[in-house]
Amino acid sequence: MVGTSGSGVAAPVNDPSWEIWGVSARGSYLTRATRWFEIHRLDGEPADWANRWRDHLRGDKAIEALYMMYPEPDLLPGRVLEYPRERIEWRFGSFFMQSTFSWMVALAIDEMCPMVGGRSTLAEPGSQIFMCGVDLEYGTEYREQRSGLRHFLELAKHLGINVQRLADSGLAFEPIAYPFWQDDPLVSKLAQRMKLCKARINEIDGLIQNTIANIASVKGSIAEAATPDRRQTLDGALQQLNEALEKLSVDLTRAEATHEELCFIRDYISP
Amino acid sequence: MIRKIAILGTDPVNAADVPIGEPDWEIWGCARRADFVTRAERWYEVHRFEGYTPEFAAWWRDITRRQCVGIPIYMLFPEADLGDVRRYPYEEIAARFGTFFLTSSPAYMLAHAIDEIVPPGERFAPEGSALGVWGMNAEGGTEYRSQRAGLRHFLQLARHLGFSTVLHADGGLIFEPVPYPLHMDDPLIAKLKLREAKARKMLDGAANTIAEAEKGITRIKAMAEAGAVSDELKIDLERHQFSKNAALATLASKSGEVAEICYWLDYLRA
Repeated sequence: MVGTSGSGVAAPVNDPSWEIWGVSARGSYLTRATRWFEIHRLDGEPADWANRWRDHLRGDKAIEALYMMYPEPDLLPGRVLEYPRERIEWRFGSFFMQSTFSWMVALAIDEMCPMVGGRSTLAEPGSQIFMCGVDLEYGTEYREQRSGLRHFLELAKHLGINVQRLADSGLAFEPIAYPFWQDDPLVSKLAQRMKLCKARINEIDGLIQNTIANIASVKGSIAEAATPDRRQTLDGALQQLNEALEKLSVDLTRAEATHEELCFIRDYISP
Repeated sequence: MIRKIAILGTDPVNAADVPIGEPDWEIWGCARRADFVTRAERWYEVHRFEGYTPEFAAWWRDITRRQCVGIPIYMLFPEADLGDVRRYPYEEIAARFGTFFLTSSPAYMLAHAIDEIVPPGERFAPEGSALGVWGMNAEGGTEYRSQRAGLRHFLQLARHLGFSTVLHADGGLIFEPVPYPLHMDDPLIAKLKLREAKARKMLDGAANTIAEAEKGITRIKAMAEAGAVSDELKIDLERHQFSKNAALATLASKSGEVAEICYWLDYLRA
């Protein structure tokens, strides 16, 4: 299973015993593609983008089979297959179907461990799934996608499939389990730093609001200033306030970026 | 041996339907034991009491002692004087199932049940094995998102390992949401997203109105302090205060609307 992130180069394209299943635009290092997956409804995408993507797929001679939930047979004549959504959803439910990779791993399990007599069977010894080029690790956007994919990888393991992941992938790390994270030293340190950072953000935000209010106040005073000297003084104060506001905005951006990075680490080490 | 295990949470909505009167079901509970739980085969306490405040820990230890008389208590941080305390086999469970989905007490309980009924080396549960969940929904918003995923993971895993699973029809653990990418153009979800977008636009508008009104009020007050007095300024001040109050009311009502829409979006889509 090959995604689009850099580690996709680890895909075993030169070992013919591996099928290569992928998504999105095929990297040039993927010199073969046993199956490709496009599960989105292309008519639901902006027309320009969808047409460019259709042209790209039409030009991809390496794809042996294109699985689509909304099949467009003319994209790769004779090679477009309808993804068996009903069967897969009936067997695995929909809760963890949160990304294309969830659907791909589910299909792989369904083929490697077919149902017999209403029960799952074990995969043949030697069956493997190798994940590369897919991390799904960044931020809450991917939190659900990550749990969906990890669910299917765990399921695959329990049904006898050897699941391989790259050590630096977000799919390999086993996070600190509940309730251990409640007093884990690293999580506690992160929580403390996040709290401090959030307090700093609130402080800066408060200063910005005060500065904006002061600017409004000085502008009001300038409108009513009785003498040129007074107006000059107020103009100077207004300039200082504007400069302070600019600096505070930079500080706020920096603090928000720090907070975001802390959130990433916390998100990574606890599920 | 065929075993049926009922995992019991504390949500009163459907906890009372737990099959206490059916002797072929084992009852495994956690947290506070309700009066109707007239029998239980096990109790689970995964938290570290020492991590709580001394008052709370003492109170909770006392409750644990009283509600677990005669039944084993499985603990991650065993305290032998609480009763028939057993060490939860964390290392074994984490090595077998990973830690990603160990996100709540019931997740630990489900993993333990699977591990006992399908011990390492075995692949499938004996036919007739069952796991049921009562008294828990883990459905309320993002707070429970990881708990919900953990419970659903172990329930799905159990099904694939040959267990029957019993879930309450109104529980958040049974509904199959609209999967990705189908939720991208599901009519009900599209309608909710449209309503959310409209409500958020009104929230933004109200916040802008409040900010503008506050600026206007500050400006007029500064002018008044500088000596400016006129009926026009007074009317202007009242106008700003009126629009601020109206915007605050909008902010309150639309916030509630957005929260409810988000709940349903969370529930309906995978």
